[in-house]
Amino acid sequence: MKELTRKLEKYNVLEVDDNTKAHDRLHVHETDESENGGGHGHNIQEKKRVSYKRTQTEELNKKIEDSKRQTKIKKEYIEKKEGGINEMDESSRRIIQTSFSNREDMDTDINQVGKTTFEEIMVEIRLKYLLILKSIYWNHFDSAQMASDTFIALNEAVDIAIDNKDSQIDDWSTILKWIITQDTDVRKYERTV
Amino acid sequence: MPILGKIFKKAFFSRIAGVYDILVNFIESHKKAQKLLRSVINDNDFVHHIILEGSEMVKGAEIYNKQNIEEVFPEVCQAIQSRTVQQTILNKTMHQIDDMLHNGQIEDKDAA
Repeated sequence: MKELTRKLEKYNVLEVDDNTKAHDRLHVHETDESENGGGHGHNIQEKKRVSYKRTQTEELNKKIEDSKRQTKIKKEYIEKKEGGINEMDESSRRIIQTSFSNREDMDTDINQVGKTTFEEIMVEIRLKYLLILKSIYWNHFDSAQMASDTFIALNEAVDIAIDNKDSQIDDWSTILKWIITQDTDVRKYERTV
Repeated sequence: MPILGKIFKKAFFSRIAGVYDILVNFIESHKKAQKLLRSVINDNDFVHHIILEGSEMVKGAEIYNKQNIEEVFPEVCQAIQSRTVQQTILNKTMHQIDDMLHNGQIEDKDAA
């Protein structure tokens, strides 16, 4: 009888232990799932954000290409003038016909387009952006939020970017060069601090 | 040797501070310029294109700042930040005193 009770007790205890272990296992499994779920959700959000940005850039590039093509067609039309429209292919003819409602509008608009191209507008806006940037640097320096060396480096980078305003803004590469040449000595002694 | 260490530490700190100052001002100024450009010009397509160019520059600076400065020298960054705050507070106070002197609320002796 005693043996039987011992066995029962053992059995119960074992059962309890198994239950607790199973519970623990389940708990661990749940937490793992929740963690993985959270990470997965974050990844999806990140992917969505990246794909949205990519589509935006693609759309913009497409628009730019379209506007370049339209400008080219309009220029061709100006060169050919009277009767030139008949020599154009159908898509180009449609662009010319949809662009202008009547003959007077056509002439004035074509003259304007001939003077200001898409690239010129981009260059002008880029220049405006760089000048705003330069004024902000000056403001920061004037209100003593920036050291003189910093101002010199940043101002020089903007000046170089303004000189190369026909190409994309790339003032970061100028600053990076400056930082690296200043940094080379510092990196040697990184471990001592 | 301790004297050398102090000199060394000072030179090192000033260099890292210079780089951090450049990076912080560069990022902040680009973000401000983007906001201003949006408010000045309404044409979204052209402005968006230029702002994308600027954002790429900011991204590069942010990555460099995080990987090479903030993660490697967090104490230096904190010290520079507190120094910047001190500088800003002192500047604001100085301007306030100038304004008060200009308005006749205080005298030259008090302002000095």
